[in-house]
Amino acid sequence: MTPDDDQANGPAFGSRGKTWALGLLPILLLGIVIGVLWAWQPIDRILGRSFPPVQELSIVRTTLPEPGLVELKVVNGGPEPVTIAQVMVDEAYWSFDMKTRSSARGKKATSPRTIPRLGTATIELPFNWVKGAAHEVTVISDKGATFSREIEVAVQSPQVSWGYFGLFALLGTLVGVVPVALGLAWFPWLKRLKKGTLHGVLFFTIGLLVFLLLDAVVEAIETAGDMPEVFQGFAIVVFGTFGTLFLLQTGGNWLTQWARKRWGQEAFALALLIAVAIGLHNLAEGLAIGAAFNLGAISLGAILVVGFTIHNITEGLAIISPMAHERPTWLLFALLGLVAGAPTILGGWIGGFAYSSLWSLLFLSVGAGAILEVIFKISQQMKGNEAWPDLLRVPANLMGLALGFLVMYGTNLLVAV
Amino acid sequence: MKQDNPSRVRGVRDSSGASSAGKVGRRRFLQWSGLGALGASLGLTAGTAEKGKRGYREGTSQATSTNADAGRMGTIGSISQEERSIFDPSQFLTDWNFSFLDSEKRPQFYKESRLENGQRLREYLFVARDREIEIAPGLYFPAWTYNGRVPGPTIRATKGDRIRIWFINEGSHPHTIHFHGWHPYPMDGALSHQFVEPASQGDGLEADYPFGPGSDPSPWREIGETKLRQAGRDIYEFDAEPVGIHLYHCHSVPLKRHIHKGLYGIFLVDPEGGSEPQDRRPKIDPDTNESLPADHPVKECMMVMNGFDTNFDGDNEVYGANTFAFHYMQEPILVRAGDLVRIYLVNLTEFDPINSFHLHAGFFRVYRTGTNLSSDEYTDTVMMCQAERAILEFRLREGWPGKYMFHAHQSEFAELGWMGLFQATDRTEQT
Repeated sequence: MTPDDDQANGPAFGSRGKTWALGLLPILLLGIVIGVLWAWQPIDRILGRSFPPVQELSIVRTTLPEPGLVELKVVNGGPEPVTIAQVMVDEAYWSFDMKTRSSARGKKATSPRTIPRLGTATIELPFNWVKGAAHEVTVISDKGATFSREIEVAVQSPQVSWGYFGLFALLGTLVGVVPVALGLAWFPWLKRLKKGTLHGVLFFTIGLLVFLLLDAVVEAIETAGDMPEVFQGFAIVVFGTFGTLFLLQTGGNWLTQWARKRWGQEAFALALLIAVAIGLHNLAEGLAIGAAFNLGAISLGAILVVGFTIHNITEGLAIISPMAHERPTWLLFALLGLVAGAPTILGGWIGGFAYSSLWSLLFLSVGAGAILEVIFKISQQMKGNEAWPDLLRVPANLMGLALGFLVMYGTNLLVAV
Repeated sequence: MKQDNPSRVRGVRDSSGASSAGKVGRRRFLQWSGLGALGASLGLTAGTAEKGKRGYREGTSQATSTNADAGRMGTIGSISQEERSIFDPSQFLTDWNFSFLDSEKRPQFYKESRLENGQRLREYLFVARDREIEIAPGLYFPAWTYNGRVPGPTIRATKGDRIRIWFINEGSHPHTIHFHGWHPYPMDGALSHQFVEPASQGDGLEADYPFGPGSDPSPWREIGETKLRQAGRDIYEFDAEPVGIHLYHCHSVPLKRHIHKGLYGIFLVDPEGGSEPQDRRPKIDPDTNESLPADHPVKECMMVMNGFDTNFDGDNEVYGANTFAFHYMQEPILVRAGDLVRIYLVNLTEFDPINSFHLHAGFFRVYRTGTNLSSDEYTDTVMMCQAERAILEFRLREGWPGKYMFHAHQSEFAELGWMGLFQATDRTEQT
């Protein structure tokens, strides 16, 4: 159908049909332009088919499922299919087995080792890796381009087993559930605080959250840089963060209304919202724990676990801070603790058994968006009848904000050593 | 248009950045490492415990893979028949003066005649051309070649022969042929005014006079060197001296690129005397240093040690003897035990200052540069600088048939392709 037909028929549909037709007109024209470009290939006509090929492969994951075996996952993020000619380990050619998974159906692959655009492949290398050593794997394309990835510390990757299942659950409990629960125990103390001090505590919480927010965003952007460019990791970060923010704004409004109806106040809803946000954040942390096992888990350092518990205990405080004037039930405490802490366990499982930078990126940015929403919510609640500039003029509040940030910074030093 | 592929450079950049890839960079990893330790202390990590039980797997026998190739060092697959029909390393060992061409085609590229003074004249037609060559199974390198081959055709002459090279540059960059050996200054092909421009701009000079072996070079000389080179042609003429194993290569700049792209080959000058080329050097038992009978069989092998930087990062991705990675692993060089094996070895590896040749289970005599008829060394490993060359002679022991490896003793080069086998058969067997 040509655009003219549409316009001619327009009145028959009434004005609504015409609106549709006019809306579709540019798309139809676009279709024609694409058709012409496809059929006529003007760029090839002018320059000939002598373009140097642009090849972009990424080894997105290396796993060592058992001694003597290395597995690579390769993604073709470039504009055209890439054929893998050979594979090297530590500057030596090595025989390999390759399975291609292609999203391009019906397209005839020129070679069984050709990865279509956006396709992925799994490469199995029977190679006796050395425990604790670093290895470098390199795939070399038919055009001689090389794409490498370092296995920083070779250790056997976690396998889906009860042992690892339990390990990640235990670690998640230690670094997620326990500190959050301990933090909740600040509640009786919180109830005794005067309003001014409470505001200081809330600002302290905001300070904590700002640190977590920045940490998550920086991590997410770093992760985005590691992904194949074609996936536009940065856009996913922006979308994940703000998408979550807007979703929680809407969901949060709904939740507060429901809470007001149910309990006659909003504080529980806010606490739940903060718990959800921190839960998302902890999911990303759990993911990193699990993924660390893929890179290798070595030296004994129980002090680091202790460091983590200290680092995360403040999260519990953040959750209860809006409820200082309320009387929550034990059940609610348990719920809040689970919502905030348990995702660490889930994250550990995902990260350990099925890590991908895309998951990591998604969780980090969703977590960031959630934290952002919580910061807004706490600020709103605190504001009440007072104006923001007045709140910020109170030294205790500013001190609280700075202290919150510094405490996070300090406890992060503990775990970063 | 720019010759080199930006994507390759990109690939390299990616690779260097990839060490931090996979999220959980070093910082994160350290943060979490303590947790792993905790797991280990609780006896939950499978790593150490299981490894002790199972031990490392060896070779292919226990591999889970269905691929018969799996579990060994080396490339997989084989070089295409198409490439083999243009260049075959097994054939290269014993072909010179365009003997790889059939009798009809060969005279276009090689011709032997006598000058008026009785001197033997050997004429060659060399054509520089760009071609994507396959250097390992499925791996292609955008080479600059002489006559489509890397290394270029071997030139073999007897001391005192007149050599005349008719050269056309059909490539995309200015090229020359620079010979190691004695020649007058105009034949050196090394200074910028001696560079031969790509002939594609051709001004029809070839229409006026025939160009190539058997033709009369005087009209071309009258045209003048400068004009000739601008038209993409040149003629190199000199006497083959001194005796030895030499080389030729392009001397355009940048040198590194013009050489590593593939513009090089062997220039061999035999001593006078002897009816067959292989009989012109004295035959000496490498192990006893005593003379062998004049009719003792000789197995000759031309070998160029070379490398290819496929991603243009100034480091070779593929090494080999005669271009194909691991070629002689897949097709061992057949040798009858007891025969005198003579290797004409030239090092044309670019980027790495040295390369080497190591023979398993035997020792060889080294005749450095082949200029001396008595040996310099009795060893199983010889080291060579870029452009250094030597003639190596050895005999594989009778009664010990089998496969004997030879390779660079830089293990890295060996495992990136510079590795092969001599297959020794007993004298009575046919080779």
